[in-house]
Amino acid sequence: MSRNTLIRGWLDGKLSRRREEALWEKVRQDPVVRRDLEATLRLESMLCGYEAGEISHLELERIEERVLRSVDGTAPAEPHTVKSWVIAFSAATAALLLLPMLWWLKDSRPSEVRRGDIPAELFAPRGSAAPYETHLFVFCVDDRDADVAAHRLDRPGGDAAADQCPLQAELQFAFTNLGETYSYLYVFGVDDTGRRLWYFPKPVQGESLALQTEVSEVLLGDSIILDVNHRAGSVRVAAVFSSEPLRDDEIADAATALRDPAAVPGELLDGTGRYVESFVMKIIDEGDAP
Amino acid sequence: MTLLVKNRPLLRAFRDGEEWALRQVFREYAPKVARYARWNFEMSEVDVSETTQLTFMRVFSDKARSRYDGLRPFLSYVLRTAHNVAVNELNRAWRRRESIPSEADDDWFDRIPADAATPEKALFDAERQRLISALLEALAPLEKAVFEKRFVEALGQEAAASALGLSRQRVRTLEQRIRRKALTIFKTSGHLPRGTTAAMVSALVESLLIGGLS
Repeated sequence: MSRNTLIRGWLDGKLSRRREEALWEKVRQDPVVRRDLEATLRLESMLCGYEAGEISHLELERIEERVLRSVDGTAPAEPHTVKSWVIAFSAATAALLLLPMLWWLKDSRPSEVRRGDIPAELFAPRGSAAPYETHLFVFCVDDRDADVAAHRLDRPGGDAAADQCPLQAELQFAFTNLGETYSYLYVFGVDDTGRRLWYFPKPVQGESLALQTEVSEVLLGDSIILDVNHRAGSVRVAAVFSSEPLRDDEIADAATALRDPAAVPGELLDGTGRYVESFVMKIIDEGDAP
Repeated sequence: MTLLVKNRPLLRAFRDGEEWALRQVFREYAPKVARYARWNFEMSEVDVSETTQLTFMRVFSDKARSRYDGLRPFLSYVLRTAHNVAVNELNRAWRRRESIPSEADDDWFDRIPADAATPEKALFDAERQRLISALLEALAPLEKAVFEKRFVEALGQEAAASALGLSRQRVRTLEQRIRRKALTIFKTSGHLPRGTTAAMVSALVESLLIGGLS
């Protein structure tokens, strides 16, 4: 979601709690967002007849709603304090030492994408008449308009023509795992600059995510806001379903090898009790234009 | 000033986290926190907004609500929290007055001076008047009515809707249109070129504030 859309959403009182957090996080980190929000609040205050520097009663109304929503024990993240910066810095340093090219993709906010946002027909097999036995679905979910639009990105064939998703949208993973063979899943990506992207598991977890068996079309984790850690360009995504958990170090070599566009994930990660899927998605930056 | 001290049912509801009580407390004290933040730290609108948000998130937390004894002046307590938020959490380089509200002094807030009349303020007011006149000309009658109720009379959406015989959603939609029109007027009235960005609006507003625009 672009900064203008976020700011407009804030002014119109239309942002979800999660989007509000995203906006205020951006305000703290990005001087451009801060300046733009500043200008719009100032304009609004002017229209309301307040003195320069005062916030309007309309802004107070928005604050009231945000504060009230935070009272249910689910307060939005507050800015980092000096103390937490020290802790965060230490943790980041440790992570960097242990995991070069660490990119933590999951944010802590709850997913906004619901199963109902994704039309049932989108789960139909692509490129095959046979239903999926085991499969990772990747959806591009765009909620910039009033109606949430979703489409599939997991085109079979790995390196075939990439499906596109705007940087301003979100990714939502889902899976079908009808058998009992695969109890674990590892999903990662490599972008066209060779940067490794972590999806599942989280970097600190160290090994594959435990996966439900005998289920179909289940959403996997929270949606991922692309413009937090992705860039415009193509991303190769690999999913390894396995009977035993894979460790990060087993994936690391494959992730490095995948910087070579000619490398094939299925060959790099093949093994007993494993099933590998891969595909390419293209992320496009649609900018801040409303 | 002594809302919670004098009103015990409100205090009980506040401690229990009942929404109506929290709203009442917020509406009483939030404008004061915003004014304090602006005056004491010379904050911008965004910083005032953020300080107010974080202050009330803290004051309304379960722990803080249950800890408030209902005896100390609540305003001083809230302003001290705002001070801590600004200094310790936002931790920016404020140009600030070293005035920390005393815990026992609930009259402290009244001593914040009102804005003085200055040439800059006069210019700001004149520019505001121009903007509002241009906006009013561009608004449809119903939008004008909503502008009057919401922006000028400061009625809540419910109250404005009820006064105008509209639904709350309709008021909200009209409000959005008013904002869009205001921005368009900024862009098309000769102040700014077409295709201008919010950043340029910022520059304009900034220039209005420092009296640089004739």
